Amino acid sequence: MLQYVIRRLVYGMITLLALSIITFTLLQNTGGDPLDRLKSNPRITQQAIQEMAEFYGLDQPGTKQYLTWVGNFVQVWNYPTAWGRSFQGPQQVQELVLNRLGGTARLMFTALGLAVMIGIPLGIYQAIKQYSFFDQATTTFSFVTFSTPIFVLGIGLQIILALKLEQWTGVKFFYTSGMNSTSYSDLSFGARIGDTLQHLVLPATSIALISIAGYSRYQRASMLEVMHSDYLRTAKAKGLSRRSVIVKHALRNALIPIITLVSLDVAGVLGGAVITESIFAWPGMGRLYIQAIFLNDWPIVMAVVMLIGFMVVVMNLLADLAYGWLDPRVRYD
Amino acid sequence: MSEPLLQVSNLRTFFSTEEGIVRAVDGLSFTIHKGEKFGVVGESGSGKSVTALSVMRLIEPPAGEIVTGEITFKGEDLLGLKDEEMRKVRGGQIAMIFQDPMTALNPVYTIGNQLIETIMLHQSVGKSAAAEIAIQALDDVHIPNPKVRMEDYPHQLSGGMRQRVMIAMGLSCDPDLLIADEPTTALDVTTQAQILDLMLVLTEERNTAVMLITHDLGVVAGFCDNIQVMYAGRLAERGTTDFIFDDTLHPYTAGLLGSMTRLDEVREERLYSIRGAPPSLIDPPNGCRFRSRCDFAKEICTRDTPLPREISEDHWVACHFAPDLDLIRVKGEPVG
Amino acid sequence: MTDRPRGDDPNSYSALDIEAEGLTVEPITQWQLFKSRFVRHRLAMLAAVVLGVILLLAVFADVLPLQNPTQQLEDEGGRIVNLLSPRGDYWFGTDELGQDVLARVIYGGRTSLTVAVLTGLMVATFGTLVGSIAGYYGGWIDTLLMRFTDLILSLPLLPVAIVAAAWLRETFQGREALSLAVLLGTLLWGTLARIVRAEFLSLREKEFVEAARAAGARDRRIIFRHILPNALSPIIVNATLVIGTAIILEAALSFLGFGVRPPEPAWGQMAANGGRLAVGGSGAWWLVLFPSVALIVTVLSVNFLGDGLRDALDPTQTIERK
Repeated sequence: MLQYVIRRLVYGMITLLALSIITFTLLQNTGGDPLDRLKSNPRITQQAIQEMAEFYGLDQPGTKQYLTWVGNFVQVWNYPTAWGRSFQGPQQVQELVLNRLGGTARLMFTALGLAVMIGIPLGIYQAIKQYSFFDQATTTFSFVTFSTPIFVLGIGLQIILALKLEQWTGVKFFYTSGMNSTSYSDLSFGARIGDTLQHLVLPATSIALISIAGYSRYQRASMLEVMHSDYLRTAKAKGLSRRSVIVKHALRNALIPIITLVSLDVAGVLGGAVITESIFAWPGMGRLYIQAIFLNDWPIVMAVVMLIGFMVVVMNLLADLAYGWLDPRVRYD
Repeated sequence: MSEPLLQVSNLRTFFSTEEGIVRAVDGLSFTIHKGEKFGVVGESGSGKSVTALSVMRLIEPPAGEIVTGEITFKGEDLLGLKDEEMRKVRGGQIAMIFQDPMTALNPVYTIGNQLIETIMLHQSVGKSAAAEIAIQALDDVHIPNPKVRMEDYPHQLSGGMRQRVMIAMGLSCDPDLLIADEPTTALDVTTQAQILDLMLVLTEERNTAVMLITHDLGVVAGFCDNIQVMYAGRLAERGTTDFIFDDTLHPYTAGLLGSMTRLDEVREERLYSIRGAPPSLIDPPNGCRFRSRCDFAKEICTRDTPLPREISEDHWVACHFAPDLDLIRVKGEPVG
Repeated sequence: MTDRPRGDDPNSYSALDIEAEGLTVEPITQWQLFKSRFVRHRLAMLAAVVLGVILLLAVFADVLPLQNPTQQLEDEGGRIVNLLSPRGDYWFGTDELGQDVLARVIYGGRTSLTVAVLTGLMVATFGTLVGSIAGYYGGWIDTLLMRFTDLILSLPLLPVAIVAAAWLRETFQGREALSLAVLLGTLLWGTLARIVRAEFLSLREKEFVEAARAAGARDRRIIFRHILPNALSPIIVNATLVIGTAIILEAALSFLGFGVRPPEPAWGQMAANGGRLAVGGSGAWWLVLFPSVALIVTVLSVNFLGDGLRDALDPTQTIERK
């Protein structure tokens, strides 16, 4: 067991190493120079730019730059200097990224929570009521949502639930940008919660909708498979009630495979967050990431990619452990 | 014979499929007495499993439906019971064992858990008492170290062991009837014999009636008092084991016997094989359903459906020409 | 006596199935089953027709009497006719630059579908190649290739795609559709490789492969003539479903500015651009609606078709693997 965890962690580290090399190489070979903006500023002398390049190590060969970066990056305890400095100013990357982590986490956990709490029961219910009108209607809904790009959902929600709803009712229900209002610090506690929710609902829903569609489709299929299994027939032949058959014998078996899907979906949700944060001007890591890419600010890009990669690796490991805990057939060796 | 335990009369169980209505069991009647070992033999598609599931009322509407018929168990009309009352019968008075022991047990619960669940469902005992009964039941089916095995998950046991667990589970509540649907088909030959012996000994001890479903006449030969041969959802022939093997009346039974391999004798003739395949049970034509594969078929077989007739005492056959056919050339010399 | 072989009589199989499956046949009425099958197959058929029409429109865009999709249209007075709502001359209206939205949606379909179909082809090629080699040869080749596959599959898709898109765009100067297809093809073949490998692992033990080997066939011949044709169904199904994924990803990348750049039209980019304007209060709903609907209908059709194909070709694989 411990051996398994260690081996998985080693694989995870290799994955992260590969991820860092791939990303770094791509960034190095992407034309723009991180100092372009400084160079185009006539008030900064050639001398100063040269010094900057030396300061950031940009005059070194790529391999050397990479090794220096890795060497510093892994020393996460050297807060806040470990991840280097942004090219755009005096901010330390570690500080910048970790400050944005909270925003992304709020979005991600809300979306994942909604998706798990709605998507999984929905799929189970669809399977129990297979071929009913409810099943067909919600399955169609899942199919359509699953085929829609997340930004279309986000923009659609903005237009209908924020802009139009406000036009029709004259009341502002939801905000289309930001994590809180500028007046947040002046608000009472209750009003703060309200304000937070008014900002959170639309972006979180747009991410969650896609996952709900995915989870329910998967859960429905998995539940149907279990409901056709021999051991469920045995359970019925024992004289168990339909309720016990479903609750005790079907549910646990049907819920096991979804764990893998949810853990794999963390990557999808984080990817979705990159887009959603851009649509809703949400101050999270994803938005920072996009901005940094446009500015060729690679220390930030690297930090965000590595953080996302880290979360994906950890979630996959946790999912496999949970799988083994729930399914006695799984052996770690 | 002792008093009747299960009486099935004129059972019709149909399934709706997109191709049409499948008349899986089409007018079947039989009786199983207390303690009787009753074999049901037929090919895939002959309706034998559907018969068993009909008795258990595990044919679920709306796809499958018991269209007509009566199923009386210990004088009670099973089809008239409320769901709740039927659940008490299932697993309690009628237990069932399925074909594939590898998939018949829930993989995420221990053997003990699944046994105790059954026992507590049908007997008013507490958990620890149920555990005692469960351990005893495992011991009865000769599972070594039953106390330890209680904590095992199904995947930790071999196929034969799992089928023993299924038998233990089936017999744990001391049912009056045990339905075993191809209980040994998925097992290797040596294990098959052990499992059959075990089932016979245990059910003899308890005077439990058994309805043994199989496609293999060899399996029922040493086990059953009476054998019912089914073809295409209907009765072909029914009688004591001796009658079926020695005074065979139906060409289909003869064909089954002729195609049976036996290890205990040297065959002179070629192994017989029944030509063709069973007919579709969607809109089957009138007449005898076996006629297209029958060497003796005449015009009347196309015209009239042969009804079961009692040729001698407790020996029923559904063939126009019984008992006048010379079936020796089909099934070979009488065996046994 | 063994069970009779099935299929001697084509009419007999349904009855046999019922028996063989026993209770596992899901109990539904004839009408419900008929309806569900009908709806499913009808949907897959309908999806194929819709896709066919969309493909034809994209392929023959030049032949159709359409405006130039990148031309800023002017009225008689020489003023640019921007942000016209849908009307007789401009069925889908015009955008903020005065370009005809109908023409852009159709030409945009050409771009988006080129990317998606190329991606599907690349995935089918890569995935089949890696999966078949790994599954056929086994041993250290298998371990190596599958570790690599796992690595690709565990990369966070969108962040890596964004970085790579920026790089590829410079490498493929101007040929953005191709660069996007290369990008998506490189990132999406992992799942198919796993599926193909599993197929090969089981197929290589089959008698007909043994027979071919005994007859002295070489590996290449065994792989391509004997095993691959039997593994074709999952390949077709997966490649079809990848096309839907590719359209969505292309749209996402275009939305973020890493996809196809204006004035060249593509659905995702048009919807994104229109969306920004609409959220900004332009009121020009047609700029969001038409490209979005075109995109969703296409992806939906691809997914329905993929599911229908799976049902028809590969009934054992019923659970979705995302």
